[in-house]
Amino acid sequence: MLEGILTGFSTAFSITNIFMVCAGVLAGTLIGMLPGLGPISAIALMIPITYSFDSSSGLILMAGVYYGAVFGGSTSSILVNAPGVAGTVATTFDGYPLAKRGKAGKALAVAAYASFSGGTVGAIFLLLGAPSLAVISISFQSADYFALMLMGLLAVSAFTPKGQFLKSILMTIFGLMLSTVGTDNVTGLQRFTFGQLNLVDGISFLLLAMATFALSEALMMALSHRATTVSANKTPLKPEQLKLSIAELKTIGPTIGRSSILGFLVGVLPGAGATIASFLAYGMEQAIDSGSNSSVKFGQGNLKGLAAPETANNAASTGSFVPLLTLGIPGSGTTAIMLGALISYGIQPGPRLYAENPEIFWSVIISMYLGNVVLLILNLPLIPYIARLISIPRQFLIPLILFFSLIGVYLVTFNAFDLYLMVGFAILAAFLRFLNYPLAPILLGFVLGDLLEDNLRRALLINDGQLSFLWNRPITRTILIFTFLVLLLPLGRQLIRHNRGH
Amino acid sequence: MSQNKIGALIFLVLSIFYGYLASQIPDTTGLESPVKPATLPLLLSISGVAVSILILLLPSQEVKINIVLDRNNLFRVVGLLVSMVIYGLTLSILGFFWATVLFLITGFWVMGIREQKVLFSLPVIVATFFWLVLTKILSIHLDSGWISWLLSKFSD
Repeated sequence: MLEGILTGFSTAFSITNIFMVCAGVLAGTLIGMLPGLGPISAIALMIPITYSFDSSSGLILMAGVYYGAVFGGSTSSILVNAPGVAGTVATTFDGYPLAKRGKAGKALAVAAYASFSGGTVGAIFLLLGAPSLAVISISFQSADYFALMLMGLLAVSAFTPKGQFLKSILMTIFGLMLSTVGTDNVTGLQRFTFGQLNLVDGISFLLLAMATFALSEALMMALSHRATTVSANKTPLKPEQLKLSIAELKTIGPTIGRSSILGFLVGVLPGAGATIASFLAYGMEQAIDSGSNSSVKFGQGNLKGLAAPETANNAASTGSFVPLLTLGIPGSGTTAIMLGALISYGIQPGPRLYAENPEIFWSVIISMYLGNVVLLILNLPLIPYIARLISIPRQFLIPLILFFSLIGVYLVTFNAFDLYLMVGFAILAAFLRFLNYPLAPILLGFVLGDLLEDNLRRALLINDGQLSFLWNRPITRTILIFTFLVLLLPLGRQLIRHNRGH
Repeated sequence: MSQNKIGALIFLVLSIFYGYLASQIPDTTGLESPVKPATLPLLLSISGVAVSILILLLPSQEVKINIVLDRNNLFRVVGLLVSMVIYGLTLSILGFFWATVLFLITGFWVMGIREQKVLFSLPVIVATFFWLVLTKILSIHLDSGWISWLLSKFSD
C-alpha cells in the first residue's frame, strides 16, 4: 500500500502534472461558475482536450476540473444566488445573504476553507476505507455485481426529490436502452443501428453527456433569455476581503468537523451524493444551533449555515469515489461522467484496479486531493478576478458554449454525423427538462448498461438460465434486500408526510 | 394532459417500439444458450412500458416551470439548432477555421448581437485562437475543407 501511495505521489507531483491540476482547477472554476453548467458539463467539455495527454496527466487535469467546478458553483451561489448544480443549493441559504450584506469575500473564504476541510477529511477516509472495500470486493461474482448495479441505478431514483421517483427510473431505463445501440459485444450482432454505419460502434458517452447537459442547458438559457445580464454585485471584490478572523475560524471549526464525517458517509451511499449531504448537514447544524443565542440566524447569513453544506458536499463528492474506485459503480451523474473519463483513458475502476494497478488507483486518489489543495492556494486569491465572468452577457456565452460542446465531440471522431446526433439529443434533453424529467439518470444508465448486460449474461450462463442466481449467494441476497429497502424509501417519506398532514 | 403524463406517453410509445425492434433481433447464439442478444433489450422494453403506465395511472403533482415561451426566444433556439446543423455540414466544405467563424457569426447574430465590429472580429479571434491551440500546441490535424483543396489544385 505504501509503495502504491509513494508512486501515486511521484506521479502527481511532477511539474507537468502540477501545471495540469492548476489549469484544471482554473478551467473548472470558470465553467462551474456559469449558470447551469456544473461538474458534469465541465468534465464533459474537458475530456476531448485531455485525449492527447497520457492517462495520469489527463486524470489529474480532470480532478482539478472537478474540484474547480464544484467551487465555481458555490461562487455563483454566493455572489448571484444562482446555484449551478443541486449540490450547492444549500450554499445559497446563508451565502447569498452574506454577500448582500457586503461580506461576499468572507462568504467565499468560508466556502473555500470549508470545501478544503471537507475534501481533506474525505480524502483521509477514502485513503483508509477504499483499500479494505477493494479487498472485500475481490470476492464479488457476476451475480453480486448485477445486484450492485441494480442497487446503484435504483438508489439514484430513490433519493430524488418528491414526485421524481418513477420519472427517474424511466430515465435510467432510457439510458440503458441507449447503451444497447451498436454492436453486441458477445455475438457481434448489430442492434438498433437502423443500418447506419455511424451507429455500429454505438453512441459515444461524451456525445450523450455534452448533448444532454452542456448543449441542452445552453438551449434552455436561450429559451429563457432576457436582454438583461445576471445582476451580479457590481462592487469588485478585493483579495484582502477574503480573510477570516481567529474567532470566525473557531466558530466554524466544529461545524466543519461534524459536516465532514456526515458528508463522507452520505457520499459513500450509492445515489445519495452531495445534494442530500449538504441539506442534511445544514439541517443538523440548524438543529444544533437552535438552542444557542447566535446574533445571526440561519438563513440570514450565518457562517455555520454556509460552512456546513460546503463541507458536506465536498466530503460527499470524495466519498462517492469509494464505490466508483473499488466496485467500478458510479453512484451519481458526476461520478458516472468520471467513470466515462476513466474508461476513455483505458482505466476500468473496480477491485482489479487496486490489485493489478495500485499506482493508478493511488494516483487518482492523490490527484483528487491535489486538486483540493490547489483550489485553496491558487483559486481563492484569484476569485475576485474570476468572478467577473459571471457578468458576461448570455448573447456571447450561449454560442460559445455550443461551439465548445460541438467541437469537443467532433475532435474525437471527426465525423459530422455525431454533430447531428448531438443536436437531436439536445432537442430531446431540452424537451425533457421542459417536462421536468431528470437527466442525470440517463447518463448513469448509459454508463452502466454494458456492465449490467455483461454481468447478467455471465450470471445467467453460470446458472443455466435460471433466475436463482438472484438469491443463491448471501452477498447477492444482502445487496438485493438493501435495494428493496432503498426502494421503500420514497414510500416511507410519503407515509411520514401523509401522517404529518393529518 | 400534465407534463409528467405527456413524458410517460412518449416513453410508452418509445418502449413499445424498442421492444418491437428487440423482438426482431436474430438469435445467433443457438438453442443451448440461455442468454440471447435480445434478452436485456426485451427486459428493458417491458420495464419501460410498466413504469410509463404507472406514471400515466398514478396521480402526480405538477411542478411549475419558470420558463415563459416567448416567440423571439423560440426563434433564437430554432436559429441556434439550424446553425449547429449547418456547422456540421460546413466543417468538411469550408474547413475548421471558416466553418467556426461562420457558426459563431450566425450564433451571435441569432442571439441579438448587431454591432458589426464585435459580430465579425470576435468569431475570427476565437477561431484563430482555437486553430492555433489545436494545430500548433496539441498537434491535432484539422480539415481545411474541400474548397481549399480545390483551390490548391487550381493554383498548381
